[in-house]
Amino acid sequence: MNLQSPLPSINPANVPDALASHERAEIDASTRGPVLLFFGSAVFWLLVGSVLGLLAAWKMTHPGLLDSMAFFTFGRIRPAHLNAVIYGWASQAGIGAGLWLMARLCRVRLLRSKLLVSAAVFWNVGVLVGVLGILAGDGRSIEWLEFPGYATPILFISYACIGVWAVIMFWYRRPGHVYVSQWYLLAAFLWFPWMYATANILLVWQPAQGPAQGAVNWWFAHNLLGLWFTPIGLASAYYMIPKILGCPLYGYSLSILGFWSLAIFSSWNGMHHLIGGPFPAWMISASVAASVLMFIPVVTVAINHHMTMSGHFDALKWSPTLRFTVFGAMTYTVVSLQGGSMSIPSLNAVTHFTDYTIGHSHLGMYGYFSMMMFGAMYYIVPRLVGWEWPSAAMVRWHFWLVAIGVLLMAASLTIGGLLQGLAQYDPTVSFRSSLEYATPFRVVRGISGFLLLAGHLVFATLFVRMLLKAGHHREGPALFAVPAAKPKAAA
Amino acid sequence: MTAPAQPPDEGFSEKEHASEMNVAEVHGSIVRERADPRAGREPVPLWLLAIFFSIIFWAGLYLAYNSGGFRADVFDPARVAGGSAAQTGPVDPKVLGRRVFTQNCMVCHQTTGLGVPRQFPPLAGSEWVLGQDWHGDNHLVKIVLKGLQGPIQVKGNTFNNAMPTWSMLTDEQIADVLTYIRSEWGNAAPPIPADFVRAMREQTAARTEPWSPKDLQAIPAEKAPAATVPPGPSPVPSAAAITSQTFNCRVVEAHLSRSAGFQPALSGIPAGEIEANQEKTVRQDAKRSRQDARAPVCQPEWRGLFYRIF
Amino acid sequence: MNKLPWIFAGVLLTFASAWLGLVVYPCLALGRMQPVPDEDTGGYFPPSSSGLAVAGQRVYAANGCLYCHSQQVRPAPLSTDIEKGLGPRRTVPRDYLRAQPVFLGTMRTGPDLTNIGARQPDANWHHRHLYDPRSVTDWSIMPSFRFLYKMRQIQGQPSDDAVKGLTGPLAPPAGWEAVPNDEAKALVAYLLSLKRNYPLPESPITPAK
Repeated sequence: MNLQSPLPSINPANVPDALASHERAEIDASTRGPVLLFFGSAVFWLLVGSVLGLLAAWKMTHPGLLDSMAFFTFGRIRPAHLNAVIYGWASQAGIGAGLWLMARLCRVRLLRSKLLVSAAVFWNVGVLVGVLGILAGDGRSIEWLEFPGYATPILFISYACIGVWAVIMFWYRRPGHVYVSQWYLLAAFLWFPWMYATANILLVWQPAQGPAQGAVNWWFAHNLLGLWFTPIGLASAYYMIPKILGCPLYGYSLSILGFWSLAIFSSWNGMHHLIGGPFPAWMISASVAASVLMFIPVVTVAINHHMTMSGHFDALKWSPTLRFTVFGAMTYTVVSLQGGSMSIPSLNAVTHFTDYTIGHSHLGMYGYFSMMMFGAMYYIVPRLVGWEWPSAAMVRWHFWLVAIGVLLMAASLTIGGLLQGLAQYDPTVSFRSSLEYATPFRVVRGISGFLLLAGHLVFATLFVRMLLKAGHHREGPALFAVPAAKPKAAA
Repeated sequence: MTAPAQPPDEGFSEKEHASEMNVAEVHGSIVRERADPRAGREPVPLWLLAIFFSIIFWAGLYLAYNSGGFRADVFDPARVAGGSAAQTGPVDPKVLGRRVFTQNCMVCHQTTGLGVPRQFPPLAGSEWVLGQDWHGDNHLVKIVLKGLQGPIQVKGNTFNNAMPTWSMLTDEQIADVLTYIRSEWGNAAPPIPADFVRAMREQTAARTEPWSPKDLQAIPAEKAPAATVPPGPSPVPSAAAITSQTFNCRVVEAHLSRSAGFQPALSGIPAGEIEANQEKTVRQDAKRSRQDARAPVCQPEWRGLFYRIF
Repeated sequence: MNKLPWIFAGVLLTFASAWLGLVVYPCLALGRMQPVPDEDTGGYFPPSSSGLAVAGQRVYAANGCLYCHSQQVRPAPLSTDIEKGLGPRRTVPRDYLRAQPVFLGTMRTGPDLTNIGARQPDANWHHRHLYDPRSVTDWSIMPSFRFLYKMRQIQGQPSDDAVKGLTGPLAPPAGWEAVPNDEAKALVAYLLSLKRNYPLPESPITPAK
């Protein structure tokens, strides 16, 4: 099949996949508008979401905080935080990174970028309307899908452009090898509208009868994690690690195994959020089995990444992108194995309904996905803006604030959750006692929220300075340290 | 397969290309980039595949043993649908009393009879239950019939909650549950006969308000008479006894009455003969309730086309 | 080889498998359930609720009660829910027939509410608790929902609606009363309707041992 690429072909016959610098620059220029807009909006919602999350966290230990107005009640702040970070921060960061990665890997320019800029605007309008709707009392209390019915169509309209364009880029890709990241991105861009449409139809617009709703809800919520955020994050990791090191990915067959086992098993996991719930036993057991089977894709990906990094771990000393990316990739392994263990009924009996689950979800969405997106943004933004990150010290602050913040949050909620769960499981222990076990750990969690917010403020400052091309002109990338003397130095 | 058409051209021309990109000024970050990633050829380690296949094997076994036969009406993983066996004899009133307790009283007074500190008073060792101090058996029955509110002292602790009325229970059910609580958790007090409950109900027929402790204290304490019928299992199960038996019996009786068009006399049907196949009654019941004109429209009115397809 | 059709097909088929199992199947198998008749009263299990209680579901959803309270009773030995008195039996799909949406919940920051209507059958207790949870349970971390109530000067007699017995720092000063607005009344009606202690054939009540 012979595609005529819009780019002049200068490739030498023996390196068919290489891009020349000016071709890369062209591709980056074509993605600049939409990707920077998605990234910038994502950073904005990251700040909003962090403030809302911090407020929610402190309300749990100080219930009198801002409790006189309906707008600020915990039951609205918490879903507002969740949706702001999922749809505002994480999805937009993922879409931005996904579009750039797809364009680069398919080696085509992103055409009609103005349309995607409108899509970004629409998406932000939808999220804004949705978050305000939740605070105003129109939230649907459907977990991970709380936006009122008047906000979700806006997101749909926006996504229609995004998804279509991602697929079109893949269709018109330059002939040559298809890299594993492209499969993950293509799959994520196809899965998201299907799951989002199903969930909205069956839960919001034409709700299914009561008993069925729980299953649809958690099928959707888990798929958002496993088949929207996970593939985008993995696509970024699969690109960044070999790219920065200049080494090939360890194993092609491992990446095939990882991709297809994720596709097969991940979507069956949803019911593990409802173990013991009112559903036929086979549905719960199928999800338990699928959750344990997730060991396969997770370990496969971990081996692939680890063996690629093997011998080059000193790169973590100097590369911001790599540090954030590898932090995310390692956390992915830990949090997925933790999730598989939580699905086993005997452990679930203790951890269900406790803070343990919250620790797990933050470790996943933040420790894995958000850190991965920070890494991607540290790589991509200089190439779009034509400027280097102005301050390596600030990047260092960002990293340590958020790394310690998320680890502190996960550790405190995990331990507190276990104590809470053990107390709840014991029928001779009062509910009051289980609450008191959890409280000191929730205070620590609240402190970690300040660390995260501080880290985000640092990052937002860096981002704005990049957009403004502030600071002195820097030759070479902003790195944590000077790399050890090597023939090639790259970022 | 035909080659797809060229992507639409947005006025892309050589001249614009040259003006957009000044090759010399391509940013350093792009120039210094390494080649795009490519995949290496390492195979999947065999030991990894071995682990994976053992996990898949485990998953298969897990599904086989924990899926309740893949039925829609089995919710406990290890149980296969079959229904519980029918009672093969008349039912001990204490068992009936325990059932009434579990269905109605246990939510507050707990299975242990210890209640919830500062919220729901205990029944174990309670002077109210055992008829000690100023408390009589008539007080106990009247509390169940009309409810109780206001601060009370139970075993030295104060409680100030509201117990609702349970007069919707039959005299037999109230007698059974009071007999149960008076002989459980270390309590040892004589049983309460149904006649006594009936008498108390008639006495208090006019009252609509729950009792306060002062109201009760104004009534002199009475002891329930010894049961005229020995408190063993009665040979003829009363209607009340049957209604508080395992639910499937009740459903089957209803099914029999509907389909045959008559009300069978409940006494005289040995409980063992009533078919207690739970699975069948659930299906029959669901089918009948669909056909029943009295069945409420429980699907919401705005079911759309999506549902009509199914 | 053009990979796009293969990846496309694989991506859709793998997704479709769980879509069929976890979405379509429950809608078919669980989505057409009917209530079970109750011979004693001529009603149905689960019993229908008053319109006010149905409106209360909307208030429950709007204020996110679900994020701290679950509404499901799990069986033994997976859990000790029944032993702790959260309900006489496990909840099954038919229990949620009339719920819109279903508030199963995944957190127990506060207690499970499946049978709260049976545990606390007094409307005034609920109003006191919603107005200021710490005046009823001093260790509670539940936020106050006093924005669902109106503070009014007592005109002559206290109104019938007013919340009785309010104490604590948030209680109305002398001469004032707190009156629930429509949302509070609907919410309390809904909470009082939460009683899943009726029998269902598929979820037998096993008596305490």
